[in-house]
Amino acid sequence: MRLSLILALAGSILFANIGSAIASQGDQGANVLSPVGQQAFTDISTCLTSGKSPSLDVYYLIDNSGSLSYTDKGNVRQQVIESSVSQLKNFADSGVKVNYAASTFASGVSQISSWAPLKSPSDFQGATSKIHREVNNQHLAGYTNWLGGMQEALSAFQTRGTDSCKMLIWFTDGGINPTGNTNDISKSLKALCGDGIGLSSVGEGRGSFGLMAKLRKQGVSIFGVLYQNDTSTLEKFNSDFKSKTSNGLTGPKRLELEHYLMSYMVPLVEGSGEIPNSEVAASFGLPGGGHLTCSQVGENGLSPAGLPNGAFLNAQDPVGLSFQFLSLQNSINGGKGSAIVDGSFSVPSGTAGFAVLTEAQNWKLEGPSGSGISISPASISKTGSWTVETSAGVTQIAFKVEDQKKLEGPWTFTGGGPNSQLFLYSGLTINLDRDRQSQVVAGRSNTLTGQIARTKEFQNLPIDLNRFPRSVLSLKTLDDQGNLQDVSDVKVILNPVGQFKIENFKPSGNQKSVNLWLALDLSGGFQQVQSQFDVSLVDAQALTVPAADVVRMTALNGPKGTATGTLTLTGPSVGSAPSYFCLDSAAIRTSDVQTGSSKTDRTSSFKWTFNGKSQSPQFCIQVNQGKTVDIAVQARNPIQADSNVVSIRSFSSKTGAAKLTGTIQFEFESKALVNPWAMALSIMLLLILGLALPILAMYAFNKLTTKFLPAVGMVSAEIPVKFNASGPVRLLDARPNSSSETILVSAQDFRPLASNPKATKEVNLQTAGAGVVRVKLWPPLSSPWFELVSRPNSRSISVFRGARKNSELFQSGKTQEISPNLADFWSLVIPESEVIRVASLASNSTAAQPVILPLVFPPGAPGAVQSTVISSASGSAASQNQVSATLIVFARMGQLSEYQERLNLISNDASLEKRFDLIKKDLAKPAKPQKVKKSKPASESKSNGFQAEAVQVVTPPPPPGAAQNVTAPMESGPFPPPSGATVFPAPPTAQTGNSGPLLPAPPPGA
Amino acid sequence: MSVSSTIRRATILPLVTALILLVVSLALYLLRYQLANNLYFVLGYLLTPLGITGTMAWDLLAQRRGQMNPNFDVRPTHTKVIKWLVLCGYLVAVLHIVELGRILGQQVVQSGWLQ
Repeated sequence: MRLSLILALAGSILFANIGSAIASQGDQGANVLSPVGQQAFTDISTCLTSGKSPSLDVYYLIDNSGSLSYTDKGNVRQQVIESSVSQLKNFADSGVKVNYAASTFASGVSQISSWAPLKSPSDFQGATSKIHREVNNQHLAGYTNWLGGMQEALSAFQTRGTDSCKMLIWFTDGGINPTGNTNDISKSLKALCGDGIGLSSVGEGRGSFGLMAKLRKQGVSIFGVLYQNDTSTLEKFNSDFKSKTSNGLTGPKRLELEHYLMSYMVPLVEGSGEIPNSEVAASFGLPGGGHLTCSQVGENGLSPAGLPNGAFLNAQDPVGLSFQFLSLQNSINGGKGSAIVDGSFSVPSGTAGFAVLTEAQNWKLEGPSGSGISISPASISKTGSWTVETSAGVTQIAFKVEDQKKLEGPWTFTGGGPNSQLFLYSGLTINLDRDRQSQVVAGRSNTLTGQIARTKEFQNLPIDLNRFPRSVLSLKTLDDQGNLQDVSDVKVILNPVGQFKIENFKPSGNQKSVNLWLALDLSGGFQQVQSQFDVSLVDAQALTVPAADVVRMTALNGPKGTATGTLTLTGPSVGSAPSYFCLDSAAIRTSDVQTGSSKTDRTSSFKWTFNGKSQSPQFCIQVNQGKTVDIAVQARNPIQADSNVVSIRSFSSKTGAAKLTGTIQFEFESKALVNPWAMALSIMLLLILGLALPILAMYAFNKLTTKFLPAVGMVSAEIPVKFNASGPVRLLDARPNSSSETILVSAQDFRPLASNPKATKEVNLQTAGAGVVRVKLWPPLSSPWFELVSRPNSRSISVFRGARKNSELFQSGKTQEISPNLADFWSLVIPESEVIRVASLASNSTAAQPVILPLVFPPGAPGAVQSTVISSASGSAASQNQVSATLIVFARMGQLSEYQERLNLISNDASLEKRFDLIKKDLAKPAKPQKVKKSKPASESKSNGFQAEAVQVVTPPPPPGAAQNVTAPMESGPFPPPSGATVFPAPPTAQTGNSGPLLPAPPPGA
Repeated sequence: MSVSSTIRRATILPLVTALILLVVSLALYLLRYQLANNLYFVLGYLLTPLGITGTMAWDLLAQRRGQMNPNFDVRPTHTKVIKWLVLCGYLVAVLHIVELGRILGQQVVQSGWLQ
């Protein structure tokens, strides 16, 4: 099992970068990667991110020595290496050209496969079949000849090009021992490491490095996997000692020697390392311990920038190895690891996904509050944005956040124990517009362009760099000491959608090539995204070169507009050979980042011309020595949009044998034109519709639905009353034949409201002589309400307890808000002449002379007077101070006592006095001439500005004696019934009092 | 008409619906770049003020019908709040209207009309 995990770990190496994830895994005992080992994964990840068409060469060097017969009895390595080869498919699927080769080594070397491409499923099937056939315990024999194997690997890599990323996966289960002779061990070590290995100490020798350093110079990242199965090894050694086949070495001593020989693997793989002192080794003439350096490394043990580092992996604990294996996979895919402390962690904005690794069995993962995410082993089978996998006791929970805001914030992971790890993914990578090897012009400013892109797993997720805690792109190069330093004086422009442009890159003229690194620092726990590329400097004197790498064009306005720009070419300054400059037919990349709310894919509809000609198949021009040529560039697009357009095109310049290739970026702003008239008209129409439709809808709705409540079974009474104009108002019976001033109800007073029940369901109801009642529907967005409009020359007092309108609107008594339920309606109708009369009496009482009331009515209005002359009071003061009016009362059909009770309440309503005073004041106000309108009959109530449904009814004649003292021609007396109005019969002239079987006798003293 | 003695309260559903419609319409405008579809402006225009006005009609009708029951608890505040929401909805609708106007103006140019 251990072996399987080791080999699985080796397989995971193939997927790239480990980063710092493993560093935080320090408590995993022997499975800890050194900083050099971590850097090795970063190096291979950077390599795979670099270049436009990355390729990966993987060489498997597999131990096939006889010791595997007891260290790998189960032949587990076969299955794991097969799996490792199969996992290369992930790279192939991502567009990486993958090649592999494999050999086994023991005393000699046996090739399993020469370099072969892995593209199709059959390729992978063939490769795994070969591994299956050759890597097994049936062919085990011989010693452990590291040198032989490495020589074979070096030869294989030397046949590969310089552009590919190279990995050597070296698996062995024992220390170096090519022949069983210690002299051969020393020779092999010297050949592998170099002259640093002396006779007595590893640090004694000084000289050149060996084969391992050559592998590094070939760009090979070496991943050495040592399977140190001490248990089975010691068991075998003890057995050999007992059978006297161990040259007298006891099991432990022989194991010590084995450990000594194994220890050379670290400096060979990582460049430097410690060799322990071993008495047993010394007794065999092998060098003593010390620090051994086998390759060029800095003080921190890392290779100089540009040379790959190696990683040494030692496996002893199965669970820890499994943990590392999964950690490696996550790091390879761009995840950055951190320990989960106290069962919680934070998912920052911009996160594309995360993975949690744990050794625990009973765990629970919960998202931020409101996310509704709760995952436990019991819910693994549920579908969602997560996958849960368990491998050799380690569980991995992978969750796709996809930058959803609801999934940002604190998460909890309970039950995970101390060894739980979080890996955050940004899902970003770098795509340069130039290849890994490209050219720049020496002695002038160059512009490097490219784009931050999504990895394949998150390719459908839009890029918004503003979502990350920070997004800083930097260009680095090597300093004199081989360390990476920021390139000074360059201007890095990175927009939120990931397009970047590095301007003013001006390498010094004495350099032939420059190694450059692009690094995107996202902070917030995300792994840095890094890409490496080399540029060679070309002397522009013999070539035609563009004056600038970026051509800024005018804006493209509308579907018929043209973006124009000028590409200036400078001819060679030396030589006489003809110089040609050509632009490629197709753009490397055209980016149309639209800023509008709706996006249209129009990248394929751009039309470009150069000097008025279509570019296809290639635009070429000859530029003579010393000349400067301007090329008119035009771009059109029949589909308009608001956007920023960037188009990258390759160019080549050739003068004799001298050649320059590069890219030119054309950029311009695209603007969608708007027809202002159409826009204004649309807005106006939509605004009007937006207002008119609700208003019309509400009006129609109110008109259809607003009605008085059903008036079936309702009765009404119309009773002449009188009351004192001064002091508290109490309504008294003014009927000629009334026996008492108190209003006593008889059975004949209340009569059914309408002979036609249907009428009571309509909007309008007749209200006897009260005036007009109607529904007010305007404004439609306000609640409809119900209104009583008094007859001309009369005022009304009505009280509606559920009124919504401001009572000040009804102080004049001309209108009243009433209840939609007519059973609650009553109205005291007072002729204006009565109000004026009693008002004049009050004035006379203070000055016993005729007075002229300042009553000014609109000219021509019915009953209008310019002045009213009031004579001195005549008759008894008490009777003259009484106001004659008519009380109209509606009620549900009921008992006489109920009617009487209602009348008593109305007669003694406390608000009557105040309301009457307000009417008096209103009539005393001088009319404003400028606002005078021609008075119209109440039947034309719509002229009041209301759209209302109304029916006018006629009040009964006022009681005799009303307005007796008005000498001016004021309108008073009986109102003529308008045509079409329903006239209620006059009230009975005499009360029978005892008729009507339903009605009980009035209450005593009522 | 049978009258129950139990107090019947005016429903708050129209008010809640109006509030939801307003929030949705505003969200449609604020998320226009994420939604990336012009039809959402039409939807926003329909939600406010037309949709909210519908809730006002709903509330008026419900409260008016409720008043047939003497024990009905009228809630004029609901109506008043909905009226304010209608007003707010109209302001939100203006945002959608301007966008629709701009889109229509662009379409006129794109199609070559009026030229």
